[in-house]
Amino acid sequence: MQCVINRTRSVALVVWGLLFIPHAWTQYPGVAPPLAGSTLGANVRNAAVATQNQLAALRNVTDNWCRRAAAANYGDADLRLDYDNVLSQFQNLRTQFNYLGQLALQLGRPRADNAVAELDAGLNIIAELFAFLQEQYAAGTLDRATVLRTARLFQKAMREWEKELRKNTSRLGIVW
Amino acid sequence: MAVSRLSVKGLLTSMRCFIGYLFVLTVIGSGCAGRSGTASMPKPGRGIAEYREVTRQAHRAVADAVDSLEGLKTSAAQGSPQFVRFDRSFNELELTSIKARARAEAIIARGQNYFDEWKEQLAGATNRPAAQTNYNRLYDQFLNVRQRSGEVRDEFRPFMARLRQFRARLDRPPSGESTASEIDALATNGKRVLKALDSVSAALNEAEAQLHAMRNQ
Repeated sequence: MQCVINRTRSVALVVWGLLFIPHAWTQYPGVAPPLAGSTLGANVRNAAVATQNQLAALRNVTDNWCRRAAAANYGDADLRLDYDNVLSQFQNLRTQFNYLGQLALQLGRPRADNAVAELDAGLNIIAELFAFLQEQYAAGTLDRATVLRTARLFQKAMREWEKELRKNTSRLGIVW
Repeated sequence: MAVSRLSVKGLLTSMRCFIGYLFVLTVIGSGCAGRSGTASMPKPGRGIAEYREVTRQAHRAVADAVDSLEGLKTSAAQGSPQFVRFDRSFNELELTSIKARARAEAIIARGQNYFDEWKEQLAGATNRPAAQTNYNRLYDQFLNVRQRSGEVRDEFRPFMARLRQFRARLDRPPSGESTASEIDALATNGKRVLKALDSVSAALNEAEAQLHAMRNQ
């Protein structure tokens, strides 16, 4: 009898654990959404800050990529590592910008909607550089010079995009 | 013992500094949060003027790239002045084209909704009898710009993709020398991009003239 009670307790404990623990771990598998503010304006502002933070993270890995790719012994393993890091941070930026875009759309202002569409299109065009590298890699024709040149181009393109984001803050309805 | 006392003292000092820093941040932050108001309104016609400007920049960059591309027929060797010039114009084009292409993509993707921003520029004339006519005229201009933006998109993307592949081939020493036919094909492609950009510029000029005429009514 005591054994049955113990087994029931154990099962209950496992079930309780399964019910509660995973929620804490799987809430934000990618990037965490920005903090929710008290107004839509505050939410947009927080999302803009989160996007800026993600841009800084992307800038960091891109700078590393450019520096490492300039080394004479830069090899295939280095490229894979850097490419994955930069692509991952770029995708995180897309996620953060999508939050910002969705919130800006809720403002219901054509200016904000158009700014979101233009910035989003800008990211799509920049992402063509990833597709280019993948094609060259798959064809076995990718060399270090092309990697370095593309990495530097990506670095400059992201700086331009960042400038555009800052220029569009008023259009997006962000009041600091 | 002395060391641990020193550590505790250091820790307290660090905490005081941190609290002070937090306080300053809070004061600055609350000052920023306290500001209210709406984002500044754009000048009338700014969207059209900006698109025209990015189109002009892209046109200049494409023209320069095509010109430098043709210069490679004489020598495509790495380090040659022709190669250096092409490399510079290619990089410039990559960066400059993003804005023009993004603008074209956004106009196409948002369709009629994109016009709502242009429409705001007619807000001052809503009480006039000619308001509806003005709206229709500007809308026609917008449709024209949109259609021509589609041509820019259709020509620009494959041109850039081919140009990137061409540039990558120049990086590889064994096949570094490009053929004249490759260059000719790329230059022809580039000229089609130029034509599409000219077409958008003309449509934007017409739209701006229309808007100007409406404001002077």
